[in-house]
Amino acid sequence: MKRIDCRKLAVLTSLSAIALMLGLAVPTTAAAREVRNNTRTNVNSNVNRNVNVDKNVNVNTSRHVDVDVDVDRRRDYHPVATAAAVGATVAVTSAIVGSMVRTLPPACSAVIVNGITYQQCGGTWYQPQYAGSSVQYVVINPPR
Amino acid sequence: MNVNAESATTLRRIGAALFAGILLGAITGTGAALAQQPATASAAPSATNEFDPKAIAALKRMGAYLRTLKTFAVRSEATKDEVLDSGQKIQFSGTVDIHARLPDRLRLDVTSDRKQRQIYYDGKSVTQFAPRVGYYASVEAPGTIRETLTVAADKYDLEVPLADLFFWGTDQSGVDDIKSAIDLGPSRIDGVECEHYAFRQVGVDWQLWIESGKTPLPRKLVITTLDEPSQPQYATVLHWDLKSGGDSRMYAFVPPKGARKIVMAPEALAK
Repeated sequence: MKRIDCRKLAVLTSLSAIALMLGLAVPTTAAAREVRNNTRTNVNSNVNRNVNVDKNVNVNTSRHVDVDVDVDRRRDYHPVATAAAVGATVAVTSAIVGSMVRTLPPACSAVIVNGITYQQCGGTWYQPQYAGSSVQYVVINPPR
Repeated sequence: MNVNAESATTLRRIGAALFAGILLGAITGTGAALAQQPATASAAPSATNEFDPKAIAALKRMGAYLRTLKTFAVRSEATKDEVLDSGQKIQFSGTVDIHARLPDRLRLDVTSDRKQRQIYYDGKSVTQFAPRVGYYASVEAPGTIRETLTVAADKYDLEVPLADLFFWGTDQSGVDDIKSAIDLGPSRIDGVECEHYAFRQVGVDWQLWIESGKTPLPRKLVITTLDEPSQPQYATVLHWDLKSGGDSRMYAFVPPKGARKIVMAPEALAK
């Protein structure tokens, strides 16, 4: 176990060294990527626990979750988020209400309405919400 | 495939079946297994579905022991394979600290390469908090840990890692779903003597290392997901502390300064 750790460390160290030589900061080389998120972390999924549900139904197949959801990356926009932000600078109405993004465009400010946090980015309003354990942002009409 | 190649394959299969039979015979010391195994190609797959009632009994004994614990803390050190859209398999590491006070207090501190989450259940509500972005959301919860885990998964798509720890030893243990169970012999985890078991059921192959002796705790768990073509694995070693978990303060969420309240999307909207 310890030997593997040392090897990992060696790989990481050399990668960092190369990155430094190239003048790159290591964190910015990592991009947000989609994972299928199907790996089970429980022997019995909830589907199996519920006796009334057909056990052969696979609930997870089409779910995609970004592994970087709660990382505040200013240079790494989700394409949809970027499109919404670009649209917002042209015309406020171009961001589609109900569409979802995983990262916010730059220059947003948090606004609290009735105790709940919203994000205002230019003329576009987003509602942050948990979907499972992931944070996502839904484009909404301005809250009152 | 030509006839020669086909017959060669059949011969290999018969050989494999015979070998498996001989091996089984040697282990059991009776040779009866060899006699029961018809030496045909179709015999090979059936040999993989062994069912050892003693392995099931060990699993049930562990479950029964877990259900005697009123408070506990357990640290999970885990690796989890993820599959990129390209099909490439990668691995993330993380830890989960679980504190529990049965029947109605639960706290999880999840720290992985990509995510940090805290989950608080105080008997009335369940709160999820992301320390780095500072968002928290609370929803009403039922009166027990098990009901709360079920609601979290069903209604909010929030699957808590190692939820199995709270269902083993109950009528929702899933033991009846096991199609194959084998004992792979002794193994030491963290210097603790364990017995290594392997189980198969729809969707997953899984392995469990159960501490030998009077405190049959799960010490290691490996789950292989079969629905995904590259069969990603989740593997965790569990470090137990049976003296912690009694302090009720750790189950109450107090929003830190600057934390922001958001909503928890019902599952139907989250997809």
